[in-house]
Amino acid sequence: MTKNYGKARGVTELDLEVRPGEVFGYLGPNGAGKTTTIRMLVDLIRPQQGTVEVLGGSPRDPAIRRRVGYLPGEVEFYSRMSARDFLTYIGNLRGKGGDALSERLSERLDLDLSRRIGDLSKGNRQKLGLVQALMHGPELVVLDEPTSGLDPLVQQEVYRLLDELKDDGVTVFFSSHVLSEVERVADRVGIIREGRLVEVEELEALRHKAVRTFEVVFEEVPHIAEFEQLDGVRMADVHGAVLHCQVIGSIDQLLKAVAKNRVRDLVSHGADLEALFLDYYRGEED
Amino acid sequence: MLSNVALKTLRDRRRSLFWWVVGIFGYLLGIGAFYPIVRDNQGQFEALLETYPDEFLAIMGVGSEENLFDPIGFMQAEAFGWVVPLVFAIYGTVQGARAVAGEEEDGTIDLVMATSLTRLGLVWQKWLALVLAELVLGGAVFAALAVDSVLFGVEIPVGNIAAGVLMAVLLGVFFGSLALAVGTGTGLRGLTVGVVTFVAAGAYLLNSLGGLVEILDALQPISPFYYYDASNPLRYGLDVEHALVLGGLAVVFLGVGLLAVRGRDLGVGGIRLAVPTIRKASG
Repeated sequence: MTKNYGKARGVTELDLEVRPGEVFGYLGPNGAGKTTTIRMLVDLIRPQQGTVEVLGGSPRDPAIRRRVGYLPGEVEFYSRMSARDFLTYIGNLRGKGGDALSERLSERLDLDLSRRIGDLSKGNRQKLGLVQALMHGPELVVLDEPTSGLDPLVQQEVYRLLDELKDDGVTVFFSSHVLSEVERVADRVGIIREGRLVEVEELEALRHKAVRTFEVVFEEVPHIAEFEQLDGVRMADVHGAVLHCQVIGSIDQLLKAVAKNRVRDLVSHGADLEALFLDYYRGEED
Repeated sequence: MLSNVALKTLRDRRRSLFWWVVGIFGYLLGIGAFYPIVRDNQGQFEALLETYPDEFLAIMGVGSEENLFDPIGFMQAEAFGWVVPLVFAIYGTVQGARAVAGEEEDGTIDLVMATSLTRLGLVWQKWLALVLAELVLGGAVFAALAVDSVLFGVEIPVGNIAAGVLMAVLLGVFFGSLALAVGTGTGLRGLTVGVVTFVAAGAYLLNSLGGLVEILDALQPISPFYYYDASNPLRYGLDVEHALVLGGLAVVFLGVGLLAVRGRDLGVGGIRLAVPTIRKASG
């Protein structure tokens, strides 16, 4: 689908399928089109080209939206209402309350429902946003930056909640610009940059694509040419008897080449997803 | 009060509506208390009115009233000629603009519309809340006139009070519906209030001065204020046709609002005004 609001906003020819029951992390820098995508999933905005299908139907269908839980990126409430009244109202509009579940969720997140929303801190308002998104037992949960404004302890609790949703077979689509968060909870990630989807991959597969750094200390000075030509090896550099290099993908060839020499020590730094994401963010031109 | 959008909207407005009720009720009571003085000093007031230009009296809503010193003429001149219709029109405009555009600008539309509420449901329930709030204001006017009658002898037949109040409510609903339509079409509350206020002010002047300026005379029927009081409901009772014109147009505006919301993106500030780029002239 395509959606443009004018200069440098929106999404272009976005083609993405999220599988039932998976936790899908939607990653991208600010302004990449994450919120635009998400607001189309709940029919707040509509694509200029293409279609959105949610739970086998259109998000224009109220019966479909009832089965979805949604947390906006910048969640706004009626500041004069109490948190509990707000949840009652939203439950009534859905025609599907969730008093017991909302109380339980609020307790877990340590949210006081009797307080006026205007008096809640940003973090507590975010918690309220999460509770309203989850309280009716949705089949699909769409969360725009769910942990924004939450302190680390509550963030961990939210990750646990997402794990539980996954165990219950709920599909989760969430956006983030925080890599560690996506690594922690997602099965699959999509990376969006300047309105275009640049990668959709299993997190595991993505790790394979990530860069590993090796430092090998040999007994004798090796020939750098042995390593430079190997598939996936880059930035090979020999200082005395020490080889530094980076490997993308399989490390098989490098290890075999290393093994032809007498090795004193080998240090490998784990797959650096962050470097990979930064590459995506920056785009091909850099 | 939390079971649907209409009741929830009324609940949100209860404090402000209370003060609007207090304001109009107090004004009408104050005016009523003034009536015995006017009645007992009719000659002096007549002499005073002689000194005012017709245009001034027209704008103050007393131009066409034949008798300013009986209870009906007095109330028409002091309240139903200008304060009452303006209060109902302003209240309607503000509420109509807030209805959908306000929720969009506040960002609350996201959570509300992500439920199974339909867009049509949102708009018509907001409209219903507007009508109910205007009826509450109307009830306050009715009650104030009843008190005026008992305390200060401002005696007006109940049916005529009801007719006058109904026309004020319809006028308020008319402007409220217009604001609802513009606000729903654009998503911009400030713009909506501005546009509708401009239309209302123009329509008020057109109707007030229509009787004095020949060119405007023929144009009077395009002003909603004309339908509000040309038939002088306080004196002669309800003019069903005029009531239907105001009520009918309000329903038409509701229809426009319902159509406007169907294909729009919500919460993104509606229409975009193209701002012309000013370039410095070369050389």
